[in-house]
Amino acid sequence: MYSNWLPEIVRRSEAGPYIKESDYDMKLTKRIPELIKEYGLVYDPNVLVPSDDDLANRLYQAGLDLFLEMGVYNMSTQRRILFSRDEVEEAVALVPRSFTVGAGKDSVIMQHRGVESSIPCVIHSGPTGTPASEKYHPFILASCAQEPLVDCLGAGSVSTYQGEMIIPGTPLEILAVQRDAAVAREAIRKAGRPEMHINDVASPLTCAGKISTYNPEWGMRSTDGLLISQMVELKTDYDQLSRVARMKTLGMHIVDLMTPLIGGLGGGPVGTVIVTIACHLLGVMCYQASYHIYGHMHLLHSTDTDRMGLWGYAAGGQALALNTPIQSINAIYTQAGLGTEQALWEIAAASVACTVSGIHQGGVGARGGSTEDHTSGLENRFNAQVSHSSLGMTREEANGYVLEFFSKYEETHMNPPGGKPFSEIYNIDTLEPTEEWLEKYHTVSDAIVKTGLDINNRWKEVKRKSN
Amino acid sequence: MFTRERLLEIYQRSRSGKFMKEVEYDLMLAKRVQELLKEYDIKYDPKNVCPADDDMADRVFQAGLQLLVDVGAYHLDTQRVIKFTKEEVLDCLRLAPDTLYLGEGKDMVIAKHRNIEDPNPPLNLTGPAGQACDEEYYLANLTSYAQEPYVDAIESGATLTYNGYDIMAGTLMEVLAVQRDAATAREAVRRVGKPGMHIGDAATGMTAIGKMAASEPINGLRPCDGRLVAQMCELKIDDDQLNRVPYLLNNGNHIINLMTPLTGGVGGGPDGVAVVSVAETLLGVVAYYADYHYLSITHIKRANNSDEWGMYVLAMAGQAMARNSHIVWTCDPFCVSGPVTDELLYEVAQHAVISTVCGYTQHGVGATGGFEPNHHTGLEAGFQGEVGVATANSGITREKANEIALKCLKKYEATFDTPKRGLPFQEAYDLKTLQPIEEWKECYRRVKADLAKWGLQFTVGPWD
Repeated sequence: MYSNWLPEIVRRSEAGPYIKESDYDMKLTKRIPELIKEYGLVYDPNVLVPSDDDLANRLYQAGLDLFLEMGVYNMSTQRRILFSRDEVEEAVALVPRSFTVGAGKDSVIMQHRGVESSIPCVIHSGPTGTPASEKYHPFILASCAQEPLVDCLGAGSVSTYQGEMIIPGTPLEILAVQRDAAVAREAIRKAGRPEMHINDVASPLTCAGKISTYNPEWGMRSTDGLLISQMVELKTDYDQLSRVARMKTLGMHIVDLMTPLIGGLGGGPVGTVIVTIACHLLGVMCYQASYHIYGHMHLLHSTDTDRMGLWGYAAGGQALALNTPIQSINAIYTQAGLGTEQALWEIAAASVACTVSGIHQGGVGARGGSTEDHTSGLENRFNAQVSHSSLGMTREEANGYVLEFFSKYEETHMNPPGGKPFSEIYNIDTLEPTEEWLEKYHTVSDAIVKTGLDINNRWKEVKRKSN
Repeated sequence: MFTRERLLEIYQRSRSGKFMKEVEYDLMLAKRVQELLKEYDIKYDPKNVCPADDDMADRVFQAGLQLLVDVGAYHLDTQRVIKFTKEEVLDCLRLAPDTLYLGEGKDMVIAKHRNIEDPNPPLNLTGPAGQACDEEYYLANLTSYAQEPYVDAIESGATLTYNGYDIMAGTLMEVLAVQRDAATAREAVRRVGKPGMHIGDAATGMTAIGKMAASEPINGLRPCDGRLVAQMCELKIDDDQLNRVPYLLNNGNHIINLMTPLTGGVGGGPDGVAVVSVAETLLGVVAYYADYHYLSITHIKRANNSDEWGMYVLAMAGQAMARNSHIVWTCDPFCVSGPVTDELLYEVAQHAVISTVCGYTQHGVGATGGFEPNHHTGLEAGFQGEVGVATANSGITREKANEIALKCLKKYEATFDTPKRGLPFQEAYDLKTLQPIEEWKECYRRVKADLAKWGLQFTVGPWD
């Protein structure tokens, strides 16, 4: 058992087996179908939330095998960082089952949630993978922070600084990320929740950018978090690893971001779930993450609310929930834009699938995160309502709801309505949703209530018991 | 003068300025320096290393200003030249601070602009000057600096390993090591009862990431502390250095403009390098928003500045800035000799005398020119501060400083080709008591006695 892993990871990065990146990718691509066969893993597109513990356990074992055999690819040295089964099992056993994020009255406890758990999801929010304009960024963050059902805020990203495009690695990145961290701090202060957990400032792309957001007065604090990313699939580099050293010393929460691609190196949904499980183990071993962003995504359409994506959330979430104390949050990437009913149906489907499968709620990236300013507080409120109302539901019940919600948008999923940006669905003065956006929200909410899931009231009972 | 935020403007100019290969820039600079020496009639006299010529000091300033305006700064990443107008430079200079509050609480010191032959003694903001120290001795070594009575601030020096592993810049090992070293510096000042003493830098950090990682309000570097932002020789900057500026500005840290002009390099001889030094100082004012400046003149072969050339650059650049600006700036003696030799203390002494009469605040010391790890101790650093105070208190003039410096030079110039590297810290000090060995104290007493004979009035020092 190592007590100080980081120097050891550098040592293995320098001394591990050398391999070209393309060879590593080929090796991974080849091994995954073999593991699918060995463990008898099957994806059923008609069962989006499987209720099969054995399947979940086999998925986990396949992910563990993949991780042990492939190791982690360090792009800086082109070497594999290898771990033994004992090392991984020890590290997983030491992962905390619960911890506090944020501080004071605004803190929340993130707890490991089992399958079909009655523990409410922690609700993260903010512009998930979606760029914001300099002009509306402060309003977007404030609209999220002021939502009573939201527990945490992500600062999101802005691509310009005083109109200049931000180039990573230049002073503009430092200037911009410090501004964005301060904007997030100001948003939660304005909302009367000055110590709410901020889970990341996404504008920076380099280590220097990330760590320059830390400032206990105006920026990120030790009770906040920052993302450390993996590159697809199972890859890291020294720029990412250097963040670990800094954040561990500051006592910040490390948030492990992975983006396994369905249709990419992992193949279909089964293979991608195996990769996703291995990615979580990477986050444990190399990043010592507090929690993880379960951020799988369709290779072509930047979404995870299709059949494969929803199954991936449910199957992978259950595999991790049943076999580890690891905690993850989702990142719901809808195809539809904001201000549309479809976006809400997509959110509802993913929210239910994740809630019963042990995953916390991480926020929404409308239009696959492709369009500026497609974030607002209202869809995060909606996500929280659906999630809280799903507590205690069986997986079979959840599967029924998810299939029903999915049926509402399946036909138009890949040809979605574009929706409207924040400035057109919120009143900037009052910071309230427009009537049009509220009407869509009420329409979908009422429709969900008619299916038997009382999202207008059930969340109240959940909050009453958990507060 | 800058209508937009200055950093943004510098960034834009670094992307839109004239493209030029680095070697072409060097040639342009070298040529222009020689032209300016003629235009401004600046001449070096090896017998007068500390000239008392106000008019020449003013001409050196004007030449340095003209050099920066003419050649601009070279951005290594984009290979573009960032130009500034004379008005912009002077306007930034107008905005530069003349008084600094370094450190915090009872341990805070106030650094003010110093004039030529200023009767106010200089502060001594010292430390290992970036020289390497083993992990094993690092805390003891820094404590040896912090405990010296003529030391007002330390900088945290550099280590080469972390838990025995080599530190590679840009990896997590750099971050781990910098955080450890910043905390070690904090512990060193705490142990000597000066927990708020200014810490000038965490020199293990070679990248912007490393420098940023030193920040931590309890155990690391605080807003009252500083961080170096360096120039590459000559007049060159890059994004990694510039990235530190907005970070340090927003964190309220002191920004220290580090310059290492090479005597015998692109700037040519001592007269040219004095002009380059002025230009680099002004670049630090404009591009780095420097609170104070750190001139580390370096001989191109020996890495020292204790020869006549180094003395002249120190004297003329210092007088030029003292008379034509209100900035606070420091300089360090880089020496060929090492601890437990008389030669090291003579090298330090001449530097302290010249720099004190030429308007500097003290910084140092680079024993052995940084060639030998662990060959640096608190004694020579404290001695520099003591000589600086004695120089100011004795009313030493530039003429007298020239005389003392040349006397010192006689004591060690024969060793330039066969330097006495002396002993490492762990042999020069008793590591239990943290006191210098008797032999090292005797060196201190001998050299101090000579300096007293030559006109410096000392009070009782720590190792008398």
